[in-house]
Amino acid sequence: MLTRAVINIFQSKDIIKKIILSIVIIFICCCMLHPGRFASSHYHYIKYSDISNELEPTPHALALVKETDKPLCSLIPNELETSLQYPNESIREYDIRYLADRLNIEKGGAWKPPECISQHEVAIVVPYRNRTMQLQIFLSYMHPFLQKQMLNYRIFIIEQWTKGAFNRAKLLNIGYAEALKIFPYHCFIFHDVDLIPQKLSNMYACTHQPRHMSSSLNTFRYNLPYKELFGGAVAILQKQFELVNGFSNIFYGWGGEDDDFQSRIINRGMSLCRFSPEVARYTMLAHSKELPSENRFLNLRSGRDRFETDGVNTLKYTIIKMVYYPLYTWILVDL
Amino acid sequence: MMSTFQDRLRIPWRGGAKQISIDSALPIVLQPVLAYIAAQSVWCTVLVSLTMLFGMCYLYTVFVRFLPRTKFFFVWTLTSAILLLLVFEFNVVPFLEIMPHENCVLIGLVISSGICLYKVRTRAELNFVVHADMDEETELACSVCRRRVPPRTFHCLICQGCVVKRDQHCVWLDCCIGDKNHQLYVLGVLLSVGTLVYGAILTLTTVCHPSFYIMETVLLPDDCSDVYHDFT
Repeated sequence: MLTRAVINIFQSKDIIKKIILSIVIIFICCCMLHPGRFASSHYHYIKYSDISNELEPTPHALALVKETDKPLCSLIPNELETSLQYPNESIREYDIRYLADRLNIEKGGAWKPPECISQHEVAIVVPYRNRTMQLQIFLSYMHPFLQKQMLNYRIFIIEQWTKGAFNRAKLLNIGYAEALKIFPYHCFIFHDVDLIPQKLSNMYACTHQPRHMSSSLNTFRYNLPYKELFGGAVAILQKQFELVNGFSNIFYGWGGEDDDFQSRIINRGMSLCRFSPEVARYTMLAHSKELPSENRFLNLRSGRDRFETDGVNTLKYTIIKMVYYPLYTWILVDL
Repeated sequence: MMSTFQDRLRIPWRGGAKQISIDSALPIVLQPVLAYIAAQSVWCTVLVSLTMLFGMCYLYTVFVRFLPRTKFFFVWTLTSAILLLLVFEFNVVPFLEIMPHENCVLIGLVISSGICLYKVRTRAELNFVVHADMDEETELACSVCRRRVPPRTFHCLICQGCVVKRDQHCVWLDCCIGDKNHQLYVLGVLLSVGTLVYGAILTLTTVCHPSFYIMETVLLPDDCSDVYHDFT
């Protein structure tokens, strides 16, 4: 009786049609809902309360405290504002002309807290070409921001002199090499000129592991596109950068160099870390996107073989001009 | 020549190729073309929107007069729904900025509004007055059919039948909205509006610079000035 009923069902073409249709629909839905197609919903991050445990202070600070009679600054300044900060996007030349005097910034865009010895010696390296408006907004925002965090810092603007494709990674390598000639910085922050940190609790200092700072960016809908992302703004200790041999020098055009840098770090047994999305919140200044480079995937694939032979140890460049402007150290280079 | 072309326009189907008329096939060609033109610049978008608005009004008057039973508007609805879903799944999702649960909510909304509107169509036939069952007592009569009908019944010239509690003939669904499918229709329309708004917010926050609004809870597009740069 039952078997006959089953046979009847399968003999009916209508049922088979429905089964095939539902299988197809389920398959399409599975493809559409595959988690690899979306922003990563869960990733490990450092909680707000753990930030002070994770920060790595510079060893120079203790020696300096013995030499001078100044006290040591706290690792994270107390009473940092917790509200979201916004850049002034309608800045004019006039506004930033007297900024350096007002904020007591040394020539070359350097500053350190006058009343205590900062535990963070940070070089902020910004690759740059032809974004005057954004640079003005960035500088006028970042100096007060970094001063509130009580850092010993200097802002380096590395400008590419050559026309043609932009080589962000090589400019960052050059910034690293030139910064070390000025001061033995303990911590390096590689920062895009269009990124604006919105939370003062996002310390511009290094953690024990290399840190991806811009993990909650407005243009990415405050989501992290993929767990391996290590671009935009990153903080890495000088010794770690030396160990991974810096960035690759061969990535011309947009894209790829950050993923290559990430695989270098992983290859050296280090891991990435991030602050919580609440803290690591950034806003991007508006501009049109760059065209992605065509051979970025090719360079990425051959990346593993070039870790030793392509990086800061093989860096070749000529400095066209180097100027200590009031708000930044400007280095114009020929790649 | 036109009739030959009309005759040759067929799509393969189970049990022999199905003939489709030119007016029904038109949206399938027209929509991607219009979408492509609109993606070129701001002025193209404005122009295409205005053309579509006035074009639809004009086409409606033309079709009502000469070809009342056309499937043009129904096919237009289907094509735009499919096109929007495809653009979202294959152009917006690969930006890796949509969270999995947001996509699930959107697909859920699409499916539920789809089911609602499908039900509206299937239940539309229940609206017609079956004249044989009519009570002799009723005095109202349909002026077109010249037969007795229950109260609040209107004749639909496109469906060619008397519809109980007729609200309107919906060209977009190609059926009449009456007593048996009115609630479903309202629900389906509300769900579709919800789906479209949610989909638009997801898409625009992905391609634009978004900001939080309304007590820092809702992410809405803020600056879309470089959108046309991305797609051309």
